[in-house]
Amino acid sequence: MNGKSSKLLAAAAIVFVLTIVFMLVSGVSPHIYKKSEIVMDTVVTLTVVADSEKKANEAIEAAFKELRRLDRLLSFSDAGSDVSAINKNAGQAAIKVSTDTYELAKKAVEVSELTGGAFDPAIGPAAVLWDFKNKKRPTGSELKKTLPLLNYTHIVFNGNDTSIMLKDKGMLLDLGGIAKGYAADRTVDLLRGAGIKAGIAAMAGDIRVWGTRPDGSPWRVGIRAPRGSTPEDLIAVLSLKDMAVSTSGDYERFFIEDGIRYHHILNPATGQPAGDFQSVTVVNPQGVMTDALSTAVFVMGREKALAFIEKTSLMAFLVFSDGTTFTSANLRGLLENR
Amino acid sequence: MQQRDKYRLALLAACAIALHGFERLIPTPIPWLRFGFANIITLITLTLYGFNAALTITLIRILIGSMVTGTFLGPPFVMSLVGGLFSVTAMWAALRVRIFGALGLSLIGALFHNIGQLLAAYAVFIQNLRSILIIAPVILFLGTLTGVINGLAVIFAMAHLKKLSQNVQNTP
Amino acid sequence: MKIAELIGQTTLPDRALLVLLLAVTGVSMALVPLMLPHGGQIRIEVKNKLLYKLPLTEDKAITIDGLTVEIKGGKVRVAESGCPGRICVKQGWIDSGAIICLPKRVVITVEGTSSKPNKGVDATT
Repeated sequence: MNGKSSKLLAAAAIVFVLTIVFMLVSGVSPHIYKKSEIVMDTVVTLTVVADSEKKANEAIEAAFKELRRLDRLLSFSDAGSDVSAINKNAGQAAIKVSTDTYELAKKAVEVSELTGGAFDPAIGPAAVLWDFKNKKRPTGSELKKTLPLLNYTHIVFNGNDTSIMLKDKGMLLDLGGIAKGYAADRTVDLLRGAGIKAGIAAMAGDIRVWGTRPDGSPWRVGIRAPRGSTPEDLIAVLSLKDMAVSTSGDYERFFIEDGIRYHHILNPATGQPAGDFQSVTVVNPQGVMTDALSTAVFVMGREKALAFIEKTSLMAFLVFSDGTTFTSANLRGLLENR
Repeated sequence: MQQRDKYRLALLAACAIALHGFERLIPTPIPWLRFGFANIITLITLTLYGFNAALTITLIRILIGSMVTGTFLGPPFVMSLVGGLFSVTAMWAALRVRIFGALGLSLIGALFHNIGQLLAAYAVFIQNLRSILIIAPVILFLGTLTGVINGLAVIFAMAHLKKLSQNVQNTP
Repeated sequence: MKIAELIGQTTLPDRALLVLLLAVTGVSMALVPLMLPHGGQIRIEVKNKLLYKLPLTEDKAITIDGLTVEIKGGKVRVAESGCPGRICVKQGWIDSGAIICLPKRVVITVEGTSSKPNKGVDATT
């Protein structure tokens, strides 16, 4: 056997071995694993990219455990939560709460300040008067009475012992407009810490993605068509890497009475459903921001919303009441219309 | 064709059928793994006696083989037939190019046998291109591996046949 | 006859062809699974007609023409086929790609979670 042919043979052998290695690697190559559970009164779907089902399941289970813990702290309806404790003691006492609750409430008030009160975690007293399931709406005078209580500036923070107090009796703290975004952030932190390089934490419409799909392409997040016949009808699709996105829509919880649509996105200034939009989608690295800001921008109404988006360079996609849309310039490269 | 060559072809065909039957006895854990040992005989025949002889042997093998296994005119028969015809024709064409040895011819034979079968599967049985494309790389890869084995077997067999015929000529 | 001698009787084009075939088939074999959707739902086609569209989330077993398709834990397999080669049975459990049973003309393909309208969308807000 001469030198040339042995070299060729060696080359062939190397290619062969590489091929086998490639096959083995692809056998353990990352796969997408997905699981849904009802947590925080909503369908939470965790999607992770992992080498093995075992690793994926362990990480997902740990994440759901963390979500249930957060739910127990932040729930508005659960009598044992931090939030309930604060509300029960409104106008009476400061309540020491977990750092999660404290930080999140603080963040909520920051967003309130940023948006001039369009987002308000003290919306509770007005919100409880609305019953979208049973199509019941409060009278004007009932709502009017609550308006003085819808005031985030009367949430008092004490950093020394991480306690929170509501100044006025009857005030109700409701972190529901920001908790899901926060939960998405925490989930991503936790899964990243567990060595999961990519995935999606979707708390219903509050979604945070990290990393990329296994093929290296960005995650694709659809935006629901507000007047679509099914939840699968999309108005646009976003291509995102390491971003959070939230949509506030008038189609999530609503009822129609005498041709008027009453939905759950309430204006803290009036206690009534906000007008001008069918849906508002906000993209930002932080889920806690997208969750709160999508609500805030919705509440602002057309003129103020557009000015706010311009001023803060917010990535936003708006669907106005007449069905026309607006895409902020910095989101155009990431969004394709359907 | 001489009478002696006819006997030889019959013998080769018998060998092919035997190998074909023998290979069915080997348990394969991997789906789609078919050794195609019969191609050893086809290739030897092609080299020694040319295209017509190889084609004849292949047809005999497929006909008799399918009757033995009771799959005559069934899906496996159609697949074998198309695969066999593709394979013989491709090997014959490759032989005429004169750059390939037994290994290359065997690889080409295996490749076209599989291509033929995939085409037949699509044309005759399942018009689902996606699923066939999903499975094609695995089949073609396994075919390459078995093509190497069969090619080396042909080289081995041909070397022995040469020695044998020399011995026959040398004996008085 | 030694292996080295066997190999010595191969030509350069032989080896080039071998390397090429291994590379092309090996690489495509590794790449194809990456492009396929996992989980979601399956389509069962018999004689080129779509017979069933089933979610992989529901455990189920159905029999078509002596061929038993089993769905369990987000995966699908052909449990029994009754055909001679039983290639489809040997393929075992899959959660992506396809199972083909040629003699019975049955094709099982795994589709992505979001069915046709939202193909390629990972989540919806």
